[in-house]
Amino acid sequence: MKANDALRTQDLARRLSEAQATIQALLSGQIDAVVDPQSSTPILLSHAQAALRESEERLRHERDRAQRYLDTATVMLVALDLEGRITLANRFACAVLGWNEAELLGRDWFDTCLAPRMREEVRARFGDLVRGDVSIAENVVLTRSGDERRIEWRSTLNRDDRGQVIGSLSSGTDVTERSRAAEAVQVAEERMRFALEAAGVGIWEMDFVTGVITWSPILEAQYGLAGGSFKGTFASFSEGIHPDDRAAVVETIEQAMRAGTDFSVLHRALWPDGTVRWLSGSGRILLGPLGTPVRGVGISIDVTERHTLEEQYRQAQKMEAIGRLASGVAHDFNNLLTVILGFAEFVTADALPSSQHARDLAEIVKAARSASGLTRQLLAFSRQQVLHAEPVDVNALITEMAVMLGRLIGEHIEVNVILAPQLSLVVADRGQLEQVVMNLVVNARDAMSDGGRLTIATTDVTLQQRSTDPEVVVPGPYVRLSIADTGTGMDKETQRRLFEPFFTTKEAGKGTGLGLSTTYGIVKQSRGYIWVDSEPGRGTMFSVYLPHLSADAIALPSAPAAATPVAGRASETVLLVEDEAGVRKLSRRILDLAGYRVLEAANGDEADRLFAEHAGAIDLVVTDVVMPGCGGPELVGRLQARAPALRVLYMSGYTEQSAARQAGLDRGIPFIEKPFSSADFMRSVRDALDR
Amino acid sequence: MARRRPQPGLVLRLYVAGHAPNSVRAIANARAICSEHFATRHSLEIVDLLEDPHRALIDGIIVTPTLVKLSPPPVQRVIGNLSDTDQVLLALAAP
Repeated sequence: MKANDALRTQDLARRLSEAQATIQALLSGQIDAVVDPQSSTPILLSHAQAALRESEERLRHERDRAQRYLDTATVMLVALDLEGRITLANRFACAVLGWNEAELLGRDWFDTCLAPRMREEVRARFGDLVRGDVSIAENVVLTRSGDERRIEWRSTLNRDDRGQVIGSLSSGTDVTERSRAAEAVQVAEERMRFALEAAGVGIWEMDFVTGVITWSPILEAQYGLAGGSFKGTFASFSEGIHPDDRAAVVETIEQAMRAGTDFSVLHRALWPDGTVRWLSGSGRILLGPLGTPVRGVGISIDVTERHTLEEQYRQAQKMEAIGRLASGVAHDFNNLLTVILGFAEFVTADALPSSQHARDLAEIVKAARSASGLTRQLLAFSRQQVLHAEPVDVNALITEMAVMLGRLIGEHIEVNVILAPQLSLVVADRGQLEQVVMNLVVNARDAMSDGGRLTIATTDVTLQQRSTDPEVVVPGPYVRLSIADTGTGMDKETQRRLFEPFFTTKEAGKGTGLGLSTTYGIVKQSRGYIWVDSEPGRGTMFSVYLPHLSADAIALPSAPAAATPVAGRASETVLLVEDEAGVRKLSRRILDLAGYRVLEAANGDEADRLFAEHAGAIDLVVTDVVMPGCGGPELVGRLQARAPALRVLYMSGYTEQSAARQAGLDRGIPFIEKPFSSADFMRSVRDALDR
Repeated sequence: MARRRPQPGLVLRLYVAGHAPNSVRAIANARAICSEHFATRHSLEIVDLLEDPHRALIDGIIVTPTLVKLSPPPVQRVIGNLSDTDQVLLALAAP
């Protein structure tokens, strides 16, 4: 009992103390609610009520503001629960999707707002999303009207107070237009890239802020680089330019950078393997607001083939022009030399053989003959000399010349001869070919005054047009004869002019400047090629290519007829037509001496008139081919129309072939080449009459 | 899931009335005192009588906020928003 009383007392005391504490707390305003013991419902005290109201108000206000944010946002905001049901869709999302909010809430997002073809895939990705966290994705939503819009989504997870994932919240931007534009740009770019690639155009871009240059694979190939191996700096670009062109290209680009203008350059690229290619490039430099370059773009094309062709064409044109000039000069010279030699012959015949006159005349004849040799060389260069083409074994030719060449070369030079066994035959004029070899050997010798090595080699080759060839070639089998020295070599400029007549690097009086041009003419006339490969200080190699003898090779011309003296006095009448007075007088003199009756005319029209007026028969017309006004062939045509039996002899300072070619004469018609001796002339006249 | 209860464990229950000001303050004070003075060796249950009014009967609660120390015995109550830390500590430590 006592213990019970004690407990009760303790309990009472505790209750009392609690009551006191409660009253104190109530008085100090620390109590919010009092529990009604009957209903056990907490009754909020007035100050707590006010505070709660206030906080509820604040809460509502917050919610309203959030709602306004949602409504005015220009992105789609969509929240889904874990099953993919829509728990929130803002006004913008509703507008895009074509539903109102009440219709959307609670619906399955995937079934409602996605095209059937992608539902399962996106649903699977939603599973990934709710297991992970923020993600960015793009997909196509289906609007109520059946339109499809491309939306870029940024999603995050919705969590409850305890941090449990309860769904997703996504904001979506309509990128339909943007991605259409991007697609259009991509298609255009693709098309452009294809066109540029197909045209072999390389593209570059330079960012002046970072200094990085970007090259397309084609551009890398144009500089002989593997794809992706260009280092992207201006220095590495400059390295790829041929050293001879580098300064000019860099200067052009720097100027464009200062002015912010377009530029174009033509230069050579030097590949890492030593290949040289011609590139044509254009670029544009864009300046920023401060007047400094910001960006550069440009293209580049490999124009090696075009450049080579242009070069070849220029070279061919030059040689053609020089050839015409040379042949014109030679023609005039031949007329003069014919006269000089002819009259000198007459005077010689009258002079006492041992007299001073005779010796002086012999000097005149010697000088005139050597002048005639020079014109012959000029004609050789212009490919208008008579070639006696025949099958030639180049190896045999070299072997036969060996002793003579050895004497020519001297002992300070070592000679190697490398002849290909079973070398094919070529068609050429043996004597001219010997001259070619001799000219080249002499040149090689002169380039090695301090000694060296001379290599003469032959081999069969097949020529195909290559871009590095100096001229257009007829592809096919050729014999290559190369003559190489280890001498002084030549620079590019000298090589370009090498074959021009009267171009010489030797000191005055040491060469005529005709050696190599003669060589060139002979080789060209033999349908061959002569190419030079040289570097200053490294020596020179000439390669002569001659086409193989083929089954349809030209018919071999017969050996020149042996000179047969003309006997007896002639009695026929000859009409002599020649515009060049000296040659006419000389020819007349020769014909007179031989006993012919001669009618003389200075041109075609005069000859025509004489022929008509002459009462007796005219047996032969001797006429120049090329004359002012009516030329030889035209005159002959007119005369033979009246007298078909009339015989003809043509004379020309050009060669038979070129005169015939120019005048349209048939081969085999009697022809005499100037300059001629009186014996030659009389024999030709006799032959023409006796045909 | 099995949370190891610290020995000897301090088990507390705090009765509040929703977000009423003294209730909010009492929750904050209770948490602060627990984490500062009892570290992990405690459990604190918060009972909102606006949500669960009938639970007031179990512990004979007549006002909120009221903090009840259930263990270790004896049961002790602290009335008010618990802003007097010394008084709270005294009540919790009392035999």
